[in-house]
Amino acid sequence: MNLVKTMSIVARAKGPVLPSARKGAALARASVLITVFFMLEMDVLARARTLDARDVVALLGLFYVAVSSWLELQERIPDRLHLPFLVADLLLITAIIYLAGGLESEYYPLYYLPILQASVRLNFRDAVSTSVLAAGLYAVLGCSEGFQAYIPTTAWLRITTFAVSALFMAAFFGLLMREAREHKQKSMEMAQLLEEVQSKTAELASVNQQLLAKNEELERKKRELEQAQAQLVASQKLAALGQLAGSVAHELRNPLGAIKNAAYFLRRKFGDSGDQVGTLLAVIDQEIATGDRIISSLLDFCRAEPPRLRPTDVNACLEAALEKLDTGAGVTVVRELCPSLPRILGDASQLYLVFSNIIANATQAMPSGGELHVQTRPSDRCIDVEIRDTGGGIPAEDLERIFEPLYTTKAHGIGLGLVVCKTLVERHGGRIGVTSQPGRGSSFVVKLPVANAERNSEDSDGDGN
Amino acid sequence: MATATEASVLVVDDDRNMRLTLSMILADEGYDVLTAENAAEALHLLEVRPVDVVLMDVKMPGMPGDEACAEAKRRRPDLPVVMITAHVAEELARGALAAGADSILYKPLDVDLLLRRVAALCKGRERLSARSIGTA
Repeated sequence: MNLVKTMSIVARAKGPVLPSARKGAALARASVLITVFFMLEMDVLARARTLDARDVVALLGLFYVAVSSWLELQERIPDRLHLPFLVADLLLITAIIYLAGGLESEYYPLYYLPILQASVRLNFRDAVSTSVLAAGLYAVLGCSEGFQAYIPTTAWLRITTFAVSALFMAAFFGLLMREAREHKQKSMEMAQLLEEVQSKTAELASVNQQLLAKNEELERKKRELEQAQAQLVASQKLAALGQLAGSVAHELRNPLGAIKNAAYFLRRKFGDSGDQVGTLLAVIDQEIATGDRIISSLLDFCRAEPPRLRPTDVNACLEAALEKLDTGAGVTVVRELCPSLPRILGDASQLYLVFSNIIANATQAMPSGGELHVQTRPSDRCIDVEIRDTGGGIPAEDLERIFEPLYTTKAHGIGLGLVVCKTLVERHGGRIGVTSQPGRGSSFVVKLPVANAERNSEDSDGDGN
Repeated sequence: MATATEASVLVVDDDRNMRLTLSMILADEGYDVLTAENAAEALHLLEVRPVDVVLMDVKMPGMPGDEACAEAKRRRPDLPVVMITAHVAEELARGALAAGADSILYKPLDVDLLLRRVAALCKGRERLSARSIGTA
C-alpha cells in the first residue's frame, strides 16, 4: 500500500503541480503512522497490560504525527526543516519498534516510510543519509537488546538485510525521483522557454504592426509633403506668371492705345471715303476691343485682392452678368432663380466677374445657338449656382485640366478665365465644379457658403442700428 | 470739325506714338498742342509756355505722373490736369485724385470722351480766367 501511494506521489511529482505531492506525502505519513499506532495500542490492549511509558510515547507520537501532517498540508514546513522532521520520524519509529518488541518486531518496515518521503520530498543524498540513519537506529535497537542479553547472528543478519534493503530503496527511489525532478525541471524550462518564445513572438508581431503603421504614416506624410510641394511650386509659378502677365498686360495697353488713337484719327479723316476703309477701320476697332478684353482678364487674374465681404444678393450678381450677355447668337436664357435665396457674405464685383466668365464660356460653347440655364438654389448651408449650356460639351481629358492656368480649349483664349473663377470662389470659401456630356452640354456649379453670411449680416445690421 | 477755342493742351507721355496720335487728334480738333516725354520736360514747358489743360500719363520713367501732377498743381493750382493710365486699379485712381487730378481716363482711350473732357475743362478755365481778370 505504501509503495502504491509513493508511486502515485512520484507520478504526480513529474507533473508541474508540486503541492499535490506534498499533500500525498502528508496523507501517507498520517494514515500509515496512525494505523501503526492503533495496531500498537490494540497490541497493548490484547496483552491486557496497564498503562505505562509505552502509552505516553504512543500518545506523544500521535500528537507529533497529527501536527507534522497538518503543517505539511498547510505548507508551513520550510525546506530546511524537512531533515529535522525526518530525523524525528525515524526516532519515533525506532521508539515504536522498540516498544513493539525490538529487533524481532514486525514493524521494522516502518523505516521505509521516512526513506521514501526523503526520496520524494528531498534529494538523493538526503534519501541515502536517511536510510543510513535508519539502519544505524535499527542496529542501536539490536545493540540495546544485546546489552541486555546477547546478540544472535540472526539479529545481525536482520540488521544487515535491513540496511541493504533500506539503502537499495533509497538509491532506487532517490534516483527515480532525481530523474523525475530533472525531467520536470526540463519540461518546466521548456514550458518557460516556450512561453518566452511566444511572448517574444507576440512582441515582435506587435512591433512589426507598429512599424507597418509607422511606415504607412510616413508614406502618407511623404505623399502630403509631395502634394504640398507641388502646390507650392504651382502657386509660385502662378505668382510669377501673374506678375509677368500683369506687366505684359499693362505694357500692351500703351501700343493698343496708340493704335486706337490712330484709328480714331483715320476714321475722322477717311472714314467716309469708301466702304473698304470703313470696314477695315471697324476691324481694327473690334480687334482692339478683343485685345483689351484679354488684357482685362489677365489683369483680373493678377489682381490678388482679397474679396471685400458684404451681405450680397447672388441673384442680383447673376442678373448683372446676364445683362452684359450678347444674346444675338440665338442663345435663349432660362432663369430659375430662387426668390427666397439667403444672402451670402461676398464681394459682389468678384462674383459678377465669376458669373460673367462662366456665362461667356457657355455662350461661346453654343456658337449656333442653344439654351442657357441659370439656376440658383439653397443647399445645406450653401447656395448653389448652376450655369448650364446645351453646347458641344467638354471631353473628359479636358475636364480634368479645365481649372489649370493657361489651359484652354478655345482658339482665342489664354486659359485664365476659369482659373480666376476658381481662385475667387475659393476665396469666398466656396467651390466650383463642372460636369459635362460631350455633345449635350456642360454644367458649372458654384457652391458658396451661407452660414457665416447670415450671422455676419445680422452683425452688420446690428452695427447699422 | 476744328473749333475756335485755340486753347493750349500739353500732352505728357513717354510713348512717342501716343504723343503723336493724341497731338494729331487734338490739333485736328483745333487745339494748340504741346508735348513732353517726361515730367521734368513738362514742368519746364509749364514755366515757359501758356498751357490750358494737361494730359498726363501716370506711368513714366523718372518722376511718375501723379507726382508731376501734384508739382504742377503746387505751381499753378488752377491748371486742369487729366491723368491717363493703363491700370484700372482703384488705389491708382485714388493716388491720382489725391495728387489733385481733375479727371482720370484709362488706356486704350475712349477718344470721344477725352475730347469732351478737354473741351469742358477748357471752357471752365475760360470762365475762371474771365473771372480772375474781372476781379483783378
